[in-house]
Amino acid sequence: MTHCLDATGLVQVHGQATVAVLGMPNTGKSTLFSQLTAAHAHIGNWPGLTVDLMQAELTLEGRNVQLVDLPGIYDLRGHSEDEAVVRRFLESTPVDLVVIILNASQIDRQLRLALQVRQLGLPALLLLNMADEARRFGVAIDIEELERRLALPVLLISAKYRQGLAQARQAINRELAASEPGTGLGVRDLEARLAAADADRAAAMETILDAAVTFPAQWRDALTRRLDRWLLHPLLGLPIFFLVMALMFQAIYALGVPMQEALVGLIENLSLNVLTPALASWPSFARGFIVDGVVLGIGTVSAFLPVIFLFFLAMGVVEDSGYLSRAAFLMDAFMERLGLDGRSFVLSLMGFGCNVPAILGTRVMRSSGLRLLSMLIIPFSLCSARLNVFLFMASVFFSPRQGALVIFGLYLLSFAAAILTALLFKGRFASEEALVLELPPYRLPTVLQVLRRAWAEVRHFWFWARRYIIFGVVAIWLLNNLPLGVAPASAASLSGRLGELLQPVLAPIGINPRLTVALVFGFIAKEIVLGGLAVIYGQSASHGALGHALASEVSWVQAVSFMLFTLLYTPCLSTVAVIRTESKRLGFTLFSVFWSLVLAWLVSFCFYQLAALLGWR
Amino acid sequence: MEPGLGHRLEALGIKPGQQVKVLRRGWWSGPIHLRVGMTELMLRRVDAARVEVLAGDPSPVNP
Repeated sequence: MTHCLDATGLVQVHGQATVAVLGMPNTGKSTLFSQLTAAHAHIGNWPGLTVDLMQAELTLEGRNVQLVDLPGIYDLRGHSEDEAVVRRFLESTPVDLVVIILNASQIDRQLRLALQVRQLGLPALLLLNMADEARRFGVAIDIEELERRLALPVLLISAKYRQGLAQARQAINRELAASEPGTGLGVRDLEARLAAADADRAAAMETILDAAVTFPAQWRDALTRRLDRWLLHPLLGLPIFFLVMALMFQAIYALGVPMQEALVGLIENLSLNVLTPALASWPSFARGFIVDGVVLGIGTVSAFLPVIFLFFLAMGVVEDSGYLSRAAFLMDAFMERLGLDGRSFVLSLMGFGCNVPAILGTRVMRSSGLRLLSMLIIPFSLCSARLNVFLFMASVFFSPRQGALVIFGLYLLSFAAAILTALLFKGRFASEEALVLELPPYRLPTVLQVLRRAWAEVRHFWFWARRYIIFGVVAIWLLNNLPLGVAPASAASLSGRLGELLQPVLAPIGINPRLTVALVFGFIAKEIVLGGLAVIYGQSASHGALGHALASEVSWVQAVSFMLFTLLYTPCLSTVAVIRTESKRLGFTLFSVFWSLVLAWLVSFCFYQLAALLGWR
Repeated sequence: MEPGLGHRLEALGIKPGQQVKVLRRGWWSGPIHLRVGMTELMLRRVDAARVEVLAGDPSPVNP
């Protein structure tokens, strides 16, 4: 293949240079990428690659450049999936320039990646990031000497503090000017060439480091040392971690819930005072469709965006500070006994935001048993979409104090389900994978960095959610109002019949026909459940209208059973889809869906029947 | 040794002749916390057992 025909059907433009950004994990590569591209990046498909790469088209001083963000890797000869992806990319795509980004203070080991690129003969440029940290830790780098020895342009930058970015842009442009774009070929015999150069590389690295870099005689990061003494304490480490998480969730709800209520009120007002009068002349079927279907459904769900934004904001701070890798250290002993490792724990925590990126994150694992077992437990993480439903139901059926307990209990159950699943199936998905993880120094994330990421996550969430919600609420509204002329959501409507059809299975767990419809559509996405309930009951979630309607026909025991089922069964179609593409196994995907449904039904059944025995309902 | 572990260790700085300092051991036979050059790592004990080390001076690397 001489010209890339990517999956979007666009032929790579002539005269457009392809620049690949390559670096180790934890070097600030993504920060640099988003600053170079000013957030214009989009997901691109590349021929021959099973994964999507972020890319952006930009103009650098009049030159058209396509910038591609390669996954962070340790080693071009490594065995992880990401490392294989980078190899396949370099073999199949003609690259005009490789921008290598390394952590300046860890140049003692990271230089290896630059040498590997050099040995492949690829045109390259080396950016040493986190210059501020290197200075603080007493690592002094003689840039000119390094350039001379590597025969590469080298720049010291700090992407986080936006230092040296202009120079980096100029350097990229200068390097591209020296070559004709689009003339290169993919690298041939990549692995063989690297293997042959292995012995030389170690010696070369030592010589270069001796000549160009001075390391401190003593380790200077006293802050990290002091913090770790407490945060990784053998007895106090875990209690401190869970306390921090509990406080974080408390803060999110304390700030987020009032914002959410204000937003619901606003949307309600707009719908009642602006939209309804504006559509007064429309036929009632169409008006009902817009006001009680689309607007009601979307409005109910969009009100939860503030909580989700705050959640991603807090997770971003925890992750960027370096504390999340400490969580992996603290939890690894426990996770090892479940057949998992510290990374699975961190990914499950990320899953509390959204399961989809957490499942994508399992790519860092090399052992397929470990990956599959992690993919099996992540869907039990109580994601933000499910949280919407629980926050609402808890506020309807319980006092604020009880409600907080119910939510807390659901979080515990979410962990318990994951642990049970791992224990039951660890024999089937055995793994021998070694665990070696970096524990980066503690860092203070910048406000801009964290805000930008949280914003990107919310946009991403909304992008996915909107499609499903619109489809879902429209479908539910139609099921409720067809055949024409039927009383909405009555037993004669399509949804009534669907609910009745499933009663033999769902009545024993206390789910009535109307709740059944919400659950059926919740299979597509949990974002639909609440919007769906609003449409089913024809009430807005504000001013307690939907709450009253629900509480008048559903007991609190039924409500809890509904929440238990919602927590445990398949999170959403996107999670199923991503499990399918990442595991590449249909059988495993079906098993994952089947197991979560079985577990959900069993737990709800036990709860509901026990409550009946105790005479609670 | 698992294929690739040697490569991964080397990429993280653990190579023949390299000085390594153990900072702490995790609870319940958890992983060990190491300092290698300018990098800190966690490594499971089973995997660490596969790396041959010689006892050295109490390291001057750490204040």
